[in-house]
Amino acid sequence: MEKEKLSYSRLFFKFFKIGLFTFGGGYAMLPLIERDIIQSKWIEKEDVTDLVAISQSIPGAIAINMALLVGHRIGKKKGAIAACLGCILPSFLVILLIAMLLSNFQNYVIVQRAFTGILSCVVALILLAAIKFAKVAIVDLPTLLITILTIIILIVSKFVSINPALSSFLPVMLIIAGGLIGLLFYYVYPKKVREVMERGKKK
Amino acid sequence: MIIKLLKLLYTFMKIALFNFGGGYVMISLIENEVVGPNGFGITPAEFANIIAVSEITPGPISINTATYVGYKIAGVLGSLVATLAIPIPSFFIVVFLSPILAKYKDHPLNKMIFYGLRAVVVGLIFNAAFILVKTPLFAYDDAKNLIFCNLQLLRDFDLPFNLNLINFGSIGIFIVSLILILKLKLNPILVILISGLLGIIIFSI
Repeated sequence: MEKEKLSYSRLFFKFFKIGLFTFGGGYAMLPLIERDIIQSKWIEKEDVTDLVAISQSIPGAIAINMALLVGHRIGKKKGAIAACLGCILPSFLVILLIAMLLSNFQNYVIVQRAFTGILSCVVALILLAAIKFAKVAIVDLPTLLITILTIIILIVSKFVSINPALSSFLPVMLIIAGGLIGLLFYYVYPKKVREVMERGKKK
Repeated sequence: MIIKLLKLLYTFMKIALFNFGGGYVMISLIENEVVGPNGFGITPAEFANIIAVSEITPGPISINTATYVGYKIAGVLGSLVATLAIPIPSFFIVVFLSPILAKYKDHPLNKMIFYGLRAVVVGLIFNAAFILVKTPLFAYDDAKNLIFCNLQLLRDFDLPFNLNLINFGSIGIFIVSLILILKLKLNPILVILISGLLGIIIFSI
């Protein structure tokens, strides 16, 4: 297959198309972006796979990270901006349209009933995602304890009144604490580091 | 207004900067910031609706949620600010740190940070389910209002889950959804649509 011509507008529209037609969030978009970019031959296949891994290891929205990484690799800052805006624009327009319309018909009983049904399904989807993620992340006793403790802290925090400023930073602090525990293990628990690295190689 | 927009920008940049693990973690983080009197005053029922819409529309869930929440709080300008705030931290990380990221991707230090961090992320995803489960499963008051509209109500009961308030229709749809996804391997989007239809049917009876 021939290499597709490159321009900022092509980059923009490639991500616009993916953003407009992919349902199911970032994890659903990632393989489509990967396939599309490999097909366009803008970036070497191995490099695209690397970018997929990096997109999940930096903070933010995964699909957006991937758009930024691909755009940056191809066209530096301007490329990153073009790809990212392409990825965001369909969501923005669709949601804005719905938000404007829905403020009118949200009060209809039928819409509320449909949404109540949808939410039950969304809860099921999130639980399945959590279990899938847990299988990768919970690998031993310490990680199991961290997860349980996180859940307990988050739930208890809803029922006791804590300082608003503190509560607004609670999830952030938990995330940082998780990273710090990993960091601590790196320095004081070399056996665990070897274990984690070994496990990484097997996959 | 300007102060509100700046607060939105700051809030969503903070959320994006500390979000690891995708859209469902973002649900936890966004809820924590915007729902309730300490946040931007969005009610749990409104937030649940926002998540339902974000799930049935294309694109990243976090962007969809940010756009909608931004609109609720400060109109079109608010949605623009909240949406654009999400990629800003990532943009700077990609532009300035991507050579380092590629180099240290497999470094043990990086692996160990994620070893701890991912375990917290699992907890945050379970928390996202907990946030949303309160609204549909225990809350339908037959007309059109979701009754657990604030946590104060929840505190007023001896048990967090009063049996009379359990909504068995929602639990049924939840179980049907699980079966459709796990056993029949249907596309999640299709299952979402089916559950919407089921909602209309069951709650109309």
